Amino acid sequence: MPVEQGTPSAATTVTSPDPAPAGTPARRGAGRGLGPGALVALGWLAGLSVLALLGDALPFIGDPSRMTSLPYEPPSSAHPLGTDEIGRDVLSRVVYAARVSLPIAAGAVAVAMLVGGIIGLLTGFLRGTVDEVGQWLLDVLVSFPPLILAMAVTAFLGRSPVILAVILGLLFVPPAARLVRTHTMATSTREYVVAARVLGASRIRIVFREIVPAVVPHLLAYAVLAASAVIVIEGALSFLGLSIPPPTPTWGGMITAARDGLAEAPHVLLVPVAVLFATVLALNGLADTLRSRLVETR
Amino acid sequence: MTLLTLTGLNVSIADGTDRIHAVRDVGMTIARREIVGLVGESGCGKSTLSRAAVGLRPAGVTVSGSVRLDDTELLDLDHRTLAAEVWGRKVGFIPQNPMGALNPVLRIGHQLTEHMRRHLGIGAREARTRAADALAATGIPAPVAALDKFPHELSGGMRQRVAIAMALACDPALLIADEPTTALDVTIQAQIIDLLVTLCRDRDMAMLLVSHDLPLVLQVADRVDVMYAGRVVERAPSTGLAERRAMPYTAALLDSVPTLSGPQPVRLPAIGGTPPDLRAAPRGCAFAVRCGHADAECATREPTLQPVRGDDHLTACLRPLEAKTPVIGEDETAPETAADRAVPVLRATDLVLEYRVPGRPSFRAVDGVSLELHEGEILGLVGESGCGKSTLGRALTGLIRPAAGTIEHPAGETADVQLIFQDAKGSLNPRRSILDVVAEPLLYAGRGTTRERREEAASLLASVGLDPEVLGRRAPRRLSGGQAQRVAIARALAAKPRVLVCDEPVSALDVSVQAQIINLLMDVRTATSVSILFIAHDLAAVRAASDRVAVMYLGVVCEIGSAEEVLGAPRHPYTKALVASVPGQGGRLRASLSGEPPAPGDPSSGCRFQTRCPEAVPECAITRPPLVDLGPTQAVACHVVAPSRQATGVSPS
Amino acid sequence: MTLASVMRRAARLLLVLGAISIVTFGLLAVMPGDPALALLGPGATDAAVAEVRASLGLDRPLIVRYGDWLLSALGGDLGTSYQTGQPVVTSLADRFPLSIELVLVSQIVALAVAVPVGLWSARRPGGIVDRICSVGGLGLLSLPMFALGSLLVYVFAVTLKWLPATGIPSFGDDPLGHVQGLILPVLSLAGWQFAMYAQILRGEARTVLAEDYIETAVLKGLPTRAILLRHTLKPASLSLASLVPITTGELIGGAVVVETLYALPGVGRLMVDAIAARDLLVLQGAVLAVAVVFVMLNLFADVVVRWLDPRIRSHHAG
Repeated sequence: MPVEQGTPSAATTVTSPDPAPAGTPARRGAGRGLGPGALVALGWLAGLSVLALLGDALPFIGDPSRMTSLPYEPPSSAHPLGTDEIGRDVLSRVVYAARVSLPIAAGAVAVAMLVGGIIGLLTGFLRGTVDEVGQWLLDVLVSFPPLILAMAVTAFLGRSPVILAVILGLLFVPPAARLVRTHTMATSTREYVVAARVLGASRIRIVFREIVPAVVPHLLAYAVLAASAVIVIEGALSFLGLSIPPPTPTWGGMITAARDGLAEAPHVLLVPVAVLFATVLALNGLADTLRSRLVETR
Repeated sequence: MTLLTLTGLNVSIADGTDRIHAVRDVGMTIARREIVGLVGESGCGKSTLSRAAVGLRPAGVTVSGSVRLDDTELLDLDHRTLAAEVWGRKVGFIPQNPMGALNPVLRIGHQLTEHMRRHLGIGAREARTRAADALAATGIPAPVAALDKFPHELSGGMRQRVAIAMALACDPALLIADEPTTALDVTIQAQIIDLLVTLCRDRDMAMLLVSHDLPLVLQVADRVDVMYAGRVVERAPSTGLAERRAMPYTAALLDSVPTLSGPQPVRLPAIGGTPPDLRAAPRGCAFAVRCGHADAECATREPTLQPVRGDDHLTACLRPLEAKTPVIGEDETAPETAADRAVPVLRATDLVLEYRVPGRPSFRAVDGVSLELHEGEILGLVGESGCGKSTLGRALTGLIRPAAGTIEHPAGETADVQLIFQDAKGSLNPRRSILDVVAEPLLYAGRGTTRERREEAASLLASVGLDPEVLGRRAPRRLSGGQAQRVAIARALAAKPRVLVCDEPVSALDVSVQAQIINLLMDVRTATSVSILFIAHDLAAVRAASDRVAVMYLGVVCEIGSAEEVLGAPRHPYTKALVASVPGQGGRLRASLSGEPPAPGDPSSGCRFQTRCPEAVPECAITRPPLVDLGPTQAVACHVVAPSRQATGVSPS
Repeated sequence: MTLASVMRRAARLLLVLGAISIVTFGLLAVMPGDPALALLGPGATDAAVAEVRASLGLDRPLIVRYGDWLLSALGGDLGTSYQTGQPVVTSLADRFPLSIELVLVSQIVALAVAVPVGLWSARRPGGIVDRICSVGGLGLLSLPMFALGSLLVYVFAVTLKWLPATGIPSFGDDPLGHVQGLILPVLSLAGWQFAMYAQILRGEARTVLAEDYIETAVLKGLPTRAILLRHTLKPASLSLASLVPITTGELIGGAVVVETLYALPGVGRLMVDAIAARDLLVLQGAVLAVAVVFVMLNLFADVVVRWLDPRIRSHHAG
C-alpha cells in the first residue's frame, strides 16, 4: 500500500561531488527478466484464468451446482479434489468461483485506476481549489472502513456483479488518486519537467509526454496490489454471505460452508483456502516485484 | 609520537557479485597533535579509508591490514569493544553533511549527552553541564537553550558546530573530519575550519581532515596525502607543496582549480577522462591514461610510494615532475567577444520576487534588483545560499512571475532564455535516449521530421564534445555528471537561445570536470555569441568564467562590476569578506565574518548586511543604500564605501 | 499547534462527519423498493407499513427528512430494531465493548511482535531473520483473515481441541474462559496486522539505518541496542503511525469477519445479522457509529504523528 511520506526534510543547497565515474557499469536489473518467482506467479494467474474461461469444456470439470456424489467424499479419480457438504464436485466449484472473483477484481481495479488516476492527475497538476475539493471528497470516501462500506452498500443496493465491482472499485479510488497525485506533484517539480517548460513544451504536452509516462508504471504496480485486495474483500463478503448469492460458487462461500464438516472432510476447507491464498500471494508477489523494479530504474 | 598507524590497509566493498577495491595497500601515520589532510576526487576511496582507519567495518565491507591506535590493534577488536572503548571516546567523528548527521527526532541535548554518560560514567545532570560547555566551546550562542532544540531548528553552520561538540565531548585524541564544510557557505566554511584548527591546537588533538578541496587542505593541514584510485599517490608537508608537487595528478588537481589570484585565465587547464573503475585492479599506474607525462612503463608497472624530495615528500610515480613545471594547458590571448560592445539582450528593472506559503506571510527572495545582461557576455552571479540568486535566474527564464518590476528582452522573446541546472542528470528525462533529449526543443518548436531532428541533435552533441554514435542511444542515467551537463548544454543550444541561465552548473562536479564544463561554456559563448548568466557560490569558478560579476546578499545586489574589479579589488564589505573566506590565497584561513545571515525574508529596514557588517555606521540601520557607480563598470550599494547623494546630501561635483 | 490550525482541523472534521451522515442517511433513501416495507421486514401487515410510512414522512422532501433524522441521531435516537424492539443505540452500546476489546488486544499483540521482528530483520538485510520475515510476511499478508481464522479453527479447535471454536463468556462470569475464547479471534486478526507492521517497519528501519545520523551515532560509540531503539525506532515508527488509517479500517472489517466466524457478540456480528434479517435501521445506526469511531481514531493517529515528528510539530507552530 502506498504510504505517503508527509515529512518535509531539510533541503541542502550543495550536493556532494559527482557520484558517477566513467564507464558506469551496466546497472543490474535493467534488461533482466522478471525472475522465477514472478514467472510462477504469472503462470498461476494465467492458468487459473484459462481454467475459469474454459469451465466445463475441460475434463474433470462439470456443473458446479450438481450433486453428483455423496457428501464429503475424499479425493478420487471421479472427483480429484473430493466433494462438498451436499456432494458437489469441489474442483468444479473452485474453478467456477474464479469466474466470480477474477472479473469482479478486474472490473473493480479498472474503476479504481481510471477514476483514481484522473482525480489524482487533475488534483496533482492543477493544485489549488481543484485539489482542495478533491482531497475533501477522498477524505469522505476513506472515512468508512472498506468492508463496512461494501457491506452497507450491497445490503441496500443489491449484490449484482456490476454493483460489487463498482463499489469495490470506489474503495480503491482514494489510494489510487493519492498515489497518482503524489507522483504527479513530485514529477512536475522534477528538473527535467521544469526544463521542458523552459524549452517551450505546452501544458498538454507536459502532462501527456512527461508526467503520465512517469506516473503510469507506479499506478500499474498499485493496480496489481489493489487486485489482490479486491479479491480479499470480495472473499470476505462472500464468506459473510453478502456477495453473489448461492448457488453460484464463491471461494469465501465455500470456506464458510466447509466449517460444519471440518473434522471429517478438511479438504473442503483446504482447497478453496489454498486457491485463494495462491491467487492473492501471486498478485502480492507480482506487485512487490514491479515496485522494486520501479525503484531500481528510477 | 605516533598516534595512529595504518599498515598495508586494503578495503573492498561488496557490490552485488563484484567487489570494489576502494582502498589498496595504504600505509599512513598520524602523530599526536598533527593535522593530516586526505585529498582526492569523489570515488578515490578517501571516505572509505577514513572509516576503516577507526576500525568501522559495516556489512559488505572487508578490511585487511593493520590499524593501530596507540598500542591497540583496532582490527582485532569486535564491534562491541570498539563501540565501548574507542569510538566517541578516543576518536571523535565529524560527518560531512550536517543536515543529515543529527537525528531529526531527538533533542540536541540528548544526542550530546548519551555517549558522554556511557563513556565517562557520569550522571544526566553533569553530562548536561558538560554538553553546554562543549556547545559554548564551539561558539554556539545560548548553549543551554540549544540543548532543548531539535536539529531542524538550527542552521547548517550551527548543526555542524553541534556535530563538532559531539565529537569533542569525551576529549578524544583524534578527530576524523569527513568533508566537514562541503555543504556549507564559504563564509561559514571559514568559520568552521578556523574553529576546528583552534580546537585541535588548544586541546592537543590530532585530526584527519578528509576533503576534495586541495587549496583548503593545504592551508590547514600540516601534511597532505593525495589519493587516487584507492592509493595514496603523493604525501608531503603542506607548506610549499603547490610548487614542489611531484605527481602529475596532484599538479593537475592544483592547476584545474580556479583561483582568485593571478591573471584571469582564458581557458582552465582541465584533466581529460575520468577515474578508473575499481572492480578490477588497474594494470600499471591508475592515472596513466589521463596523464600527459605517462610512457609505456607507466601503463604496465604500478608505482609504489617513494621519497622524491627529501624523506618527508613521497610520491607513487615513475615520472615525477620537476618542481613547478606547467603540466597542462597554455594561456591564450583572449579573443574579442561581442561582450565588449555592451548591447543589452536582457534587462531586469526593480525586480521583486516573492514566495507564498499558505498560512504564512510571503517572503521576498529578491527585493528590488536591476540588472542588464549584454550580448555575448558571461555575467557571474555569486552569493551564499538563500541570497536569491537561483530565484532571480529562474525568473529571468520566465518560470517565476515577478511580484513587481519588469523583465525586458530588448532583442527578442522570452523563449530565448534557456536554463542549465545544477543536477544535470535530473534535468534529463530518464525515459528518453540522449538523442531524443537533445532534440526535445526542436520537437516543441515543431521543426523538421523526427529524423532531421535527430540529425541536428547529433551534430549538437558533437559540438559539446560528445560522440553521438556512442552516447546517442543511451539512457541519461548511464552518463557521468560531466557528460550529463554537456548533454544539457547541447539541448539548451538546440533552442537557439540568446541567453543561457546556468544555475550552479559545476558545483556538483569534481574539480577536474568543473574546469571542462567552464571551458565548454566559454567556447559556446565565443561560437554562438550567447549571453550567459553564470550563477554559483564558488567565487573562483565565477572569476574563471565571467566577464562581469554581480554579488547578491539577501535578495539585493550589493556590488557589480568587471570580474577583475569585483573579485580582485572588492569594495563592498560583504564582497571583501566573501573573497577573504576563499581558501588558497596564502596565509592562514581566517573567518572574516562572524555570525550568520538573518532568516531570509526578515523584514528590517536599512542595509541588509548591517547585522554582520564590520564597518556599519548608524545610517546603515535607517536607509537602504542604492547602487552607486564607482567607475564606468563598477557599482556598489554601501553607505560607507559609496555615500549616495540622498543619504549624505553632498553634491557629487 | 496554533488556534488557527486547530480550528481548520475541526472544520474539516465537521465537514467529513457531515458527509458521513449524508451517505449513511442516503443509503436508505436511494434504496430501490419501498423503504417502509424494507424496514419492517418481510411479512409486515399493510397497516404497519402505512404507519411506518407516515412516521418516516416519506411524503415530505428528502432534505427535511434528513434534517429530522440528523436531529434525532444527535439526540441519541437512531430508531428501533423491528426484530427485537430494542432501541438501536442500546444494542450498539451492548455490542461495542467486545469489538473494541478485540481490536485493541489484536493491535497490541501485532505491534508487540512486529517491532522486534521488524527491527531485527532490518539490522541484517539478507540475513536469516530478514529472509524468514520477508517470505513469512508476504505469506501472512496473502492469507485473508477469514481463511486464517478457518485454518486456526481447524487446527486448534477441531483437531487439537485446545481452544473453543465459538462463543465467549463475559470476563466477569469466567475470566479464564474469556481469555481462552479471545485467543483464536485475536490471532486471526493480528496475523495480517503483524505482517503489515513488520514489513513496513523493516523497510523504514532499513532506510533509517542507512542515514548519516546512524553512522554518527555508531561512531559515538553507542551500543547497538541504543542505536536500534532510540535512533532507529522513533523515526521509523512515523510511517507506522501514518499507516493507522489503513490498518484500523482493515481491523474493523476483520472484526466483522472474526465475530461471525467465532460467533462473538460484537458490533460486526450485529451488522451481519441485521443484514440477514433486513433490519436496516440497526445496520444504518451501526454503520454511522463505526464510521464516526473510525474517523476519530484516524484523527488520533494524526495527532500522534505530529507529536512524534518535531519537524511537523514546529512547522505548524511557526
